[in-house]
Amino acid sequence: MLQRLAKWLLPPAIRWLDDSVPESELEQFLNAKLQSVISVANWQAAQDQALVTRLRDQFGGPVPMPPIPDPAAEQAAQAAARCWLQTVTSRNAIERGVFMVGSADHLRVLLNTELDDTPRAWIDDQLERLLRHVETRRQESLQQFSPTLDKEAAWNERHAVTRLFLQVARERGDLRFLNAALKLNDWAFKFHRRMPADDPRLLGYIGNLVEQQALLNALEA
Amino acid sequence: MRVLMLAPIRSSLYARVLAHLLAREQGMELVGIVVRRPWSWGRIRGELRRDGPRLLKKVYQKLVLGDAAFKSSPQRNLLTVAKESGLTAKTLQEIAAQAGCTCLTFGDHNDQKSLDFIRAQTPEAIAFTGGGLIRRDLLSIPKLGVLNCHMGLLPPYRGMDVVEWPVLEAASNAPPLGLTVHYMDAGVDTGPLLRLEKFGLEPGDDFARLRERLTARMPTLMFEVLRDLRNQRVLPAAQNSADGRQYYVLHPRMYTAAQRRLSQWLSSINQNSSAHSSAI
Repeated sequence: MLQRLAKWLLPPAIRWLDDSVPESELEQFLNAKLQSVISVANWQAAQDQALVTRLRDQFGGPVPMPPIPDPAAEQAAQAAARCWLQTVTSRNAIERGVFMVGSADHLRVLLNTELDDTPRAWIDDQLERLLRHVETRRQESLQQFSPTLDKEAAWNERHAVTRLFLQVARERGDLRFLNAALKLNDWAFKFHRRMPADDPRLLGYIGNLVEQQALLNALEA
Repeated sequence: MRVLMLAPIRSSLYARVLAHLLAREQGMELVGIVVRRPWSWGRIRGELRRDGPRLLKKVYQKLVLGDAAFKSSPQRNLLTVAKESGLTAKTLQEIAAQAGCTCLTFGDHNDQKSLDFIRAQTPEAIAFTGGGLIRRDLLSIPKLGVLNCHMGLLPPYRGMDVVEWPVLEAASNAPPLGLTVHYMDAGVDTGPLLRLEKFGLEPGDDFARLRERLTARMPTLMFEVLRDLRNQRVLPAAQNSADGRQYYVLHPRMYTAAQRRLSQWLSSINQNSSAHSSAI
């Protein structure tokens, strides 16, 4: 009797506890939001251009041309990241659950920067720490920031971490980071599903979803 | 050798088989069994955070179905091993009574009362068969150490879902699958290695079958290592932290990708074997 009852209750209970978003629901969301986001986007950053190219490759359709890449902006980002690296190596990007604002973007820039062994090892250690934080704290991860952020800026930081993870997965082939990015994107879904198209956070989220899908497609190819 | 066991629940089949083997082995003394209380807010919260919704399936299989979970399986499994070993006891308490030692249940293996009990038994080794994280205070009690049988090959595959991850990551070589008995330390599966046993894929495998096969070997492997320790025939080998990575629970889409990879691997094995047969 108990076994039968438990067997009957198991599937709905699993569905109730499952915090992942079905693939079909994500696809539906992307199809619904993509065109409206593209039409209002302000293509400024280099990563937006990469996104636009990928959007065009994947979904086709009229996508506005992004501006020509700005080497000066890229150099400035590299210089800022190097400067950041010199000041932070005695600390951690995540320390006792508190995330150092800006770390993800700087780490992403530094992934492709030539560095000595010591800072390279520090970066690898930070990536592992971030991964462990997200995987062990799950939905309670990336909740505290230093300095403290408002809700909007906090989402930008979370998207930056997801983008960092996706880039690590793409460039190093480390699927653990794609695995974590999938979870981060799922947990972010409920906050973005009804967001208006002109909200800049939505662009960041959609960009991460598209990159995630591209990596999954490559994995399955 | 004085051995104490840590178990996740009192009916754990893995723990019962190991306890049974230890209790009847000459020169091996089972000095106590510590069981973690299954229902506590801290445990449910921790395991739910780690396992997510599949915790429910685990609870259903282990607490509701119990030994019956293995009955429908056609391959050699843990229940087969239990029967072969002559195990009849349904709980760890029964085995403890037969062995003349005490089996106690605590909220957590690391609770002060649990630590006091374990210290009083003066174990030389502790065999961990489940029940959550083990803290330093407990790790430092036995003279030799706390042993764990990890369902993956160390050092490369530390952490969770390390049956599925190697399949997902395998490129041209066969996925490295197997069991590792090691001493536990403060890290995740980073303690000194005692024994590695590799497993290969077999036609018709899926992850459930593969895990069942690995699980069936765990108690006997752990027992053999304990026996070798008693006979001083095994030396622990330290791990280099850079030789491995920590893995985490697979996202459902990654799990699906791993299943697809596994099917591809198996069909390539089948093709190779049929090509080999036709060549003969």
